[in-house]
Amino acid sequence: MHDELREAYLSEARTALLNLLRESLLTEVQAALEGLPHVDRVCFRVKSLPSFLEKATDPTTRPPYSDPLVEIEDQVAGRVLVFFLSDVDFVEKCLLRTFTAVERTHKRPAKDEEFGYESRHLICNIPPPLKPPDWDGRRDLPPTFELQIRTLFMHAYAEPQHDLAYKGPRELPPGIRRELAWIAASSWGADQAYARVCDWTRGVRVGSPEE
Amino acid sequence: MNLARLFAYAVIPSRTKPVTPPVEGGPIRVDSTLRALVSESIDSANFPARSSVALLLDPTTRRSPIRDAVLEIAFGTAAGAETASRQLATSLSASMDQRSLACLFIVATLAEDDRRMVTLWTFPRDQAFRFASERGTHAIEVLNDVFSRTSHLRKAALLQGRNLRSEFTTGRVLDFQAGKATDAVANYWTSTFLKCTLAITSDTGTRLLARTLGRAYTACASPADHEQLFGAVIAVRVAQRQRWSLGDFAEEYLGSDARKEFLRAVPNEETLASPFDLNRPLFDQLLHFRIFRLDTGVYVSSPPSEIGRSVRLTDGDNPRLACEGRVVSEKLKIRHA
Repeated sequence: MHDELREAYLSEARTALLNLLRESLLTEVQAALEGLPHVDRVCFRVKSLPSFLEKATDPTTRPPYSDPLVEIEDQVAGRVLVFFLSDVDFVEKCLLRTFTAVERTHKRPAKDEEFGYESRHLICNIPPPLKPPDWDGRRDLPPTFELQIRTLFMHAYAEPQHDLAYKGPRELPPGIRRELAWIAASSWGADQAYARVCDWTRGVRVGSPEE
Repeated sequence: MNLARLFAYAVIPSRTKPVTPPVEGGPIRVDSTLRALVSESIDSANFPARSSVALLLDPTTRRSPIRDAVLEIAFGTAAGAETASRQLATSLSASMDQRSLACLFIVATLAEDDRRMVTLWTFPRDQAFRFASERGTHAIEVLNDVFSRTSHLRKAALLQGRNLRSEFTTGRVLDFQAGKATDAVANYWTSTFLKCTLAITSDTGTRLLARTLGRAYTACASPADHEQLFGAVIAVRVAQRQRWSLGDFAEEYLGSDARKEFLRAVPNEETLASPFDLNRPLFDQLLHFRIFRLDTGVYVSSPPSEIGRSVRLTDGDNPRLACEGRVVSEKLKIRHA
């Protein structure tokens, strides 16, 4: 199954279509956010083969994927990085004027006393005008794509952590886990501090110690 | 695909009534006549050329009453499918007010391997004559319990796919009445009953229209076609109608080459037929300036509202431009664009 999946995922025609979709989604998101302040960058990517195979065969997925080529929804995914926490909601609202979401999640640690990955995730239908030619005619393409919205500090924690976790051993030693939690907590704290600075610059007095 | 399940219910509008009355109907035994009829109805509905819609789902569970019911009809047990069909019929009754006619509601499921196609239909109640002639005696009988298969008031929806988390979230809708209208009453089939939104959002559709016009403008060579495209921009900005598809727009405003180039710039058939609500402020923002390049190397950039006023164009194959106004600022640039 692994080989079949690898071959299907890498098929030239399919890859070309995923790339076309990536380009048209990037253009549309850039147009939707044009002129908005505090948007650091917009990027889209097509999922790499190793990442796709890892997800497709992940034994913890319940129920397991019966057709990963169709079901895995972040094969084409985009990310919008914004400066401040308040921009996350604002950008999400803008994007929901362009796309219809089938799922919206605020990824964050399950417990209040924990620090870790935070991001806003949207799974959206691919709008008809952005579908590459023959997208619906094939039966091996996803009907949806993923959008993530996060602050620069959320990203500063998430991206290196993901890279290290991906390349490193499965089980991290307690000391390293604690280091990562500290980075996550610091990123969270930096976002909160920036939120207070933003409030202050908007003329809203908040009860910060330096007030 | 083979017709696997068929349900039919007589539905009476009850939105304004305190209680929704029970609907009459249930499973129908499928025979070759019905198979042919359903197949013919699907063909004549021409779903690929109908409006694309997206189901409004709970964003945490991906559930909606319609999606749940349709999945049960497509993949559930026979008893589950019957219950779900009846729920849909009852919900349809509660979505319709007295402005709508009583109708026959049909739910047809077609199957092939693990794929299902669920079609929902309403055929309005009608009157028909039955003429009988026997041995010189002629008679006309008025039939009141018939439903019209070809009425312009009929409606349909198609959802298809496999029993996967990512499927059965979009569909196609046939509704001749709704067409251009945006109000909830005219759109009871799509918005109230099916709880769907247009697959092309207002902002995406508006950007699409602007982009398509821009491409057509670039592709057209003749000034007459440019004038026609420009006239269409001006007209749609002030039109009372808010809901458009690119196909409607081309039909309403464009002819000859302008139309050909406009249609050539449409990404696909689904997009051509799918309506969206024009966002006028965004449209103005996107097509705010019309830029002319003159044979002298001069560029003139004008807001549409000034064309014909301070910016004057002559007609003909070699139009000339004249413009006049007080200079309030100037810039020095290496290039025009």
